Amino acid sequence: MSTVSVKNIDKVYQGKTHVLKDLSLAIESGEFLVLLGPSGCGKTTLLNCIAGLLDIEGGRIEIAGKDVTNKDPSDREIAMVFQSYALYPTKTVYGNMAFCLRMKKKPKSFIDKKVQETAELLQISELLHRKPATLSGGQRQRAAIGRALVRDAAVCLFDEPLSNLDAKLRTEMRIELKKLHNKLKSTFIYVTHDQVEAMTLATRIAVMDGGQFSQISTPDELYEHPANMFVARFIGSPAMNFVAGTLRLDGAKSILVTQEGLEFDVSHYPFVVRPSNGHQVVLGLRPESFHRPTGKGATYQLTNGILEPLGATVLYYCQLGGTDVVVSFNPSDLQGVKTDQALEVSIDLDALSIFDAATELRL
Amino acid sequence: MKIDPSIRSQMILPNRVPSKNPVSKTVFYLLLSVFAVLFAMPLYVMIVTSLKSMDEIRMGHIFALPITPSFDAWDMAWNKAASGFDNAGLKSGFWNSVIILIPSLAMSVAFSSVCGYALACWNVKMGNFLLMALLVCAFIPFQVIMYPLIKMSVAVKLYNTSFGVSVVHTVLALPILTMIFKNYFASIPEELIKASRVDGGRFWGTFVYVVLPLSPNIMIVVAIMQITGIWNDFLVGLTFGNVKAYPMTVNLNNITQTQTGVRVYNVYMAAAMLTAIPPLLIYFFSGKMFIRGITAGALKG
Ligand SMILES: Nc1ncnc2c1ncn2[C@@H]1O[C@H](COP(=O)(O)OP(=O)(O)OP(=O)(O)O)[C@@H](O)[C@H]1O
Ligand SMILES: [Mg+2]
Repeated sequence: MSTVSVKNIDKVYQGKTHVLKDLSLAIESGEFLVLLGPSGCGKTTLLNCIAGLLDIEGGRIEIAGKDVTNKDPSDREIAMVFQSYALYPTKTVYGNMAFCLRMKKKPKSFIDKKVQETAELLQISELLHRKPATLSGGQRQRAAIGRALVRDAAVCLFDEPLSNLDAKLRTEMRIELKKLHNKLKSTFIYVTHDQVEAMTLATRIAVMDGGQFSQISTPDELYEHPANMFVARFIGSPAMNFVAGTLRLDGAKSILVTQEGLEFDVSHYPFVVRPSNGHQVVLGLRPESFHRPTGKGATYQLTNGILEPLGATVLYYCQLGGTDVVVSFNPSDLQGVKTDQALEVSIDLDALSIFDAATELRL
Repeated sequence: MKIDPSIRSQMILPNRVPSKNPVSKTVFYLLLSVFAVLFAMPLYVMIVTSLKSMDEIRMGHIFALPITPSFDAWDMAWNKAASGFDNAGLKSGFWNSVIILIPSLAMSVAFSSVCGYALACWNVKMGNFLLMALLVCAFIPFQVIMYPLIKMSVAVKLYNTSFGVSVVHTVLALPILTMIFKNYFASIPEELIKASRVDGGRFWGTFVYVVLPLSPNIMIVVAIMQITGIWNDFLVGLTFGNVKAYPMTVNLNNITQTQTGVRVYNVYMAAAMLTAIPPLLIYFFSGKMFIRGITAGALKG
């Protein structure tokens, strides 16, 4: 049992900066929860509150069913990897990893065994006698993870551990972290502002915006059914395209008409709230939901296109009835296409999202 | 001290030679030499005088080298000169000074480093107010609080004891040392302290195992300040000290001021040199003790 439950917490810095606003979050045992959000939205702050490094101004925090709101970090059964790694510069990697066990007064033989085991797991056995200053960025990062894992904490907190690595190393470490989580089965809470990291690692993602949760869901759910335009914009690369329009309800038929007069038949769209006739809406189209015409269904014209080949996919920057959109194609789809001509496409009507233009919430 | 050129370029140090222009180079070295000579001159005179006999001194050539150098005056100053209570030279004063120095050094460093650590790394209630109070205290001259301090030390039976002198030195140094430590500890990356707290190092664990290992340089600076300050002190030792166990500076003053009859300049010079040697040694060797780049590697690349 290593659940984490955050109930209605508030964090106010120096009595004036209200950073976390009435946040609640329940994390199951063994989950890999990713906190995702833009810079400055309060991810590190939330993590520090869970760790007990910051006092909260309201609400309560429970770890493994026990109220730890007023407990010291060392009494919370947590481990943490910091945004800056924060390795003890005067200690060797071994000393860094052994420190928390030494503080717990564990026997020397036990400490040695644990450190060796963890080092092996992270493939840093041959670095144990080195000081952090002599390590590369990736090695430091492993050492920092090692220091967190060595104590078998019920909950591991990670604050953007991969943000300073180069792209290749980041991909490798991402996969290793995922393997590590599968092996250890402890609860991971992981902060990042990189949505690819979030999508690939998480069992659930909590998207944060301005100190509040915009949506807490599985990666697939976030991608397919974003709860609001903020999440829709944040998840997916390239980002979702937005086209403004109005809804025309006509008996069983619902038609979305854009400002330029394009019509989308959304009769089968699973509306969360029943909209009214003439409702001002925003249509969200994933770049991946455009296809070359298949023969059935409505088709649309993409004009003024510019191609950006990325290897596996081709990005097509163009206009859909006067609105700028980005479309992602298979390279084979675009064979023989001339960019100075309009391109005819069909749109996957099951994959679209509709938002209220005023509240930006999903309809 | 040798400095790696690549490090030198990152440090805000002037280059060893200001310019490649030979004229300004000459002027630079000329000025340096003049200042060096100005500072070294009194020291030179003291040393040669202390090695001369009184007859030679009476000839009045103060810059001349001794004709028959001898350490008689040094022996006299150390072992026999009329220095105060027992008139057995400076040696008892030397040990008195050591007895005053060690506890006051230990106490002032211990208390002020812990205070500075608490103020810099932990949420102390009214911490800013305390800091302001310390700042004010650091600028109160000793003479202003001397009388109340005497009254207080009499009340706690520390007046007229060597330990009383140590306590007064400690109290006087606490404000400024606390601020020095606080500023230094505040420069330690905050996440290191947080990491230690998560790792189970509470107040003392974090201090002893994380903060202190990062602090040898500031410890050396403070130790130098305290050793030279306490060793050179005259007023506190004279007002609070044990009449039978005055520090070396008071003995030195007795030797040079209260002697009747012939003024034995060679003995005075030797006594002054003996008194000044400990701080001088500290200055000479302290440069080698500093450790460069101690926090390197704590944070990401
Ligand atoms: N000690 C502090 N005092 C006052 N305000 C603070 C303090 N620490 C953080 N903040 C503010 O709280 C907000 C959230 O900060 P936080 O560090 O949690 O952001 P973050 O989501 O981790 O961002 P990043 O992705 O850049 O790390 C920011 O607006 C920041 O300015
Ligand atoms: Mg952060």
